[in-house]
Amino acid sequence: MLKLAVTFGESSHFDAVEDRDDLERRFQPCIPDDISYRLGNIRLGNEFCERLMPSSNQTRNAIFKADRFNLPFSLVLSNLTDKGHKKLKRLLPVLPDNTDVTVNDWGTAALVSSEYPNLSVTAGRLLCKHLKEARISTPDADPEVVWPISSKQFQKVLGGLGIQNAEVDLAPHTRPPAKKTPGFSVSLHLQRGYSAKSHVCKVGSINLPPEKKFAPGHLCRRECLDYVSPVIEQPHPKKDALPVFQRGNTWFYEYSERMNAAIATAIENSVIDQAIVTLD
Amino acid sequence: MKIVSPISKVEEAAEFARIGADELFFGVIPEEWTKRYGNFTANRRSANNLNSLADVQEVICAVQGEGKRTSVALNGTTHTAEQIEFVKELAVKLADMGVDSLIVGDVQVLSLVNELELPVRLHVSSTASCRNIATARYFQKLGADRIILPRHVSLKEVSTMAKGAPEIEFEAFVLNDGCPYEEGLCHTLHLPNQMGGPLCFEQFGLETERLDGNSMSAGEIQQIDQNDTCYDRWRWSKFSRGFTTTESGQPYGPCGLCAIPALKEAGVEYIKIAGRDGNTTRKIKSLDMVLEITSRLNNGENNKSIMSCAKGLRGQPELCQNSEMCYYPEVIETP
Repeated sequence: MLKLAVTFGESSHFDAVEDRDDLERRFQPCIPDDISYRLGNIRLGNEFCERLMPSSNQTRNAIFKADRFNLPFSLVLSNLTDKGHKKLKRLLPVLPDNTDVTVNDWGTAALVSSEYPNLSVTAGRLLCKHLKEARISTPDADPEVVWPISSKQFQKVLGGLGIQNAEVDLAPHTRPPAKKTPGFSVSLHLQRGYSAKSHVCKVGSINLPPEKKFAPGHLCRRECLDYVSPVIEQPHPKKDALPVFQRGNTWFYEYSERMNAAIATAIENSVIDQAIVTLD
Repeated sequence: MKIVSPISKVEEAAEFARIGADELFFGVIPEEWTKRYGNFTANRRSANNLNSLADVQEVICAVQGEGKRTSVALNGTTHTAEQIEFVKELAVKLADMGVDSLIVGDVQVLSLVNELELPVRLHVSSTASCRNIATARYFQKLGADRIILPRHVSLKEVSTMAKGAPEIEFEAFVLNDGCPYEEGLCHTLHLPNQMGGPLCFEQFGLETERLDGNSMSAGEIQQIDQNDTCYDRWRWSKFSRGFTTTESGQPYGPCGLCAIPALKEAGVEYIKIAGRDGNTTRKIKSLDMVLEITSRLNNGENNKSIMSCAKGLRGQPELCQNSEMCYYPEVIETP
């Protein structure tokens, strides 16, 4: 049976969940039909922006609440600057032994692996890179070739850091491979993939004066939690182009019915060890 | 400080070395790669590469006697297992030819080339998105001699990394070729215009809406519209104000000329002129602009005077009154 992880990018969104039934009601619409699953864990944190890293207190509260739901807790991190690492070093000691931490830059991977051997490290999808062009969704690429963790050299790099878990999203122009990647536990993000991310944030600059907008490391008021910007008009629309939208500093594409069906097949064939839904 | 300059033609090598570039970087894509993998390039440029390995040899011969270095960009961010093997063979050939360094963007390529123990230095490309000391040290462990910092990085972040890992060389962008996104974390293609063009050109209509489903107030709409207008102008500046130059051929932004003294103080030893795609005149004018600043710096001129010179180089100091063209906009506020 498929293990399902539920991600909350923002702690207040998890705070609003009343109980497990309420949780189930929230993520149910995100699961493709006819997939049987068991709820595996609660994840807190954002993969795309270090300004959304939870505080130590928010993390403690989330761990307590996840425990109340009888679910393990996992932490999700974006790619981090040294400023982010300062905050992270206050946060990591809060985590119970064996907590899984999804990392999205190599330095954080090395840091957590070497200094916190009590924690488990997962390579996030910012590390498991592959071509994802939402305007070309013809499924013509050989999944055994383009699956991000199929390369032995990449597996070796991950192995060097003691990493055996990896997260991926599905590229528009392919499908999951037919066979499981030996020696690795693979989590697949449901619903949507990300295709590009910036280090500056358009919507996060709304409340800044012109001279401060879009500067590296600029401040924000977490406007990404309030707004989303879907593409409503393409000058050269292709019939197989996927719906795309910008949220905060990142572009996402929605999976098509064809992609969801391919995911369901991969789940049925146990190619995927865990599916991830994000509730923000 | 050492200047790293792009070339895309053999004949540019000797000239740029003579003018004052310390290192020349370029791409080369063997015909076999293009046959097998098409435009999915080994170095993020499908054009403006040297034509062949013979060209590479000519460049090496032209500049090594002058004490200048050569770097070859192999900085694709993702590779399949088969492509990795191809890059490995190419790296061996380039090292045998006497190239000084390889610029790599994929951690797989870095680790693999390091395992080969080739007589070549390894520079980690901006496309590897090094944003913290721990990443710099990890890349060093995998064989990196130098880290090329990403485009969107603050001087404070630069200083923290360079001072926190002083045993590693750092290189920072100072001129040309912006990208609104984080290069190493953009997985889209620069499609032809008839297919929508590069994502960053944003040739589409976007509509911002509230996530809670409520309608936006008139004030919110106005604020978002104003922000969008600023963003479009910023993005246009990142593309060198529509890929234009001054009348005398000097490129418009992105520019970090007046931040060069601050970069030196931060511990950055190498400064990069981007723009492999530019024509020869644009590249020479870029090199001239950077040399003007570094020579003043080397002569002990004070930072305020250097900044004033940097702002006047294009003959349009008003361009520097806002930060749209800046790689390091914080310098504008703290002259």
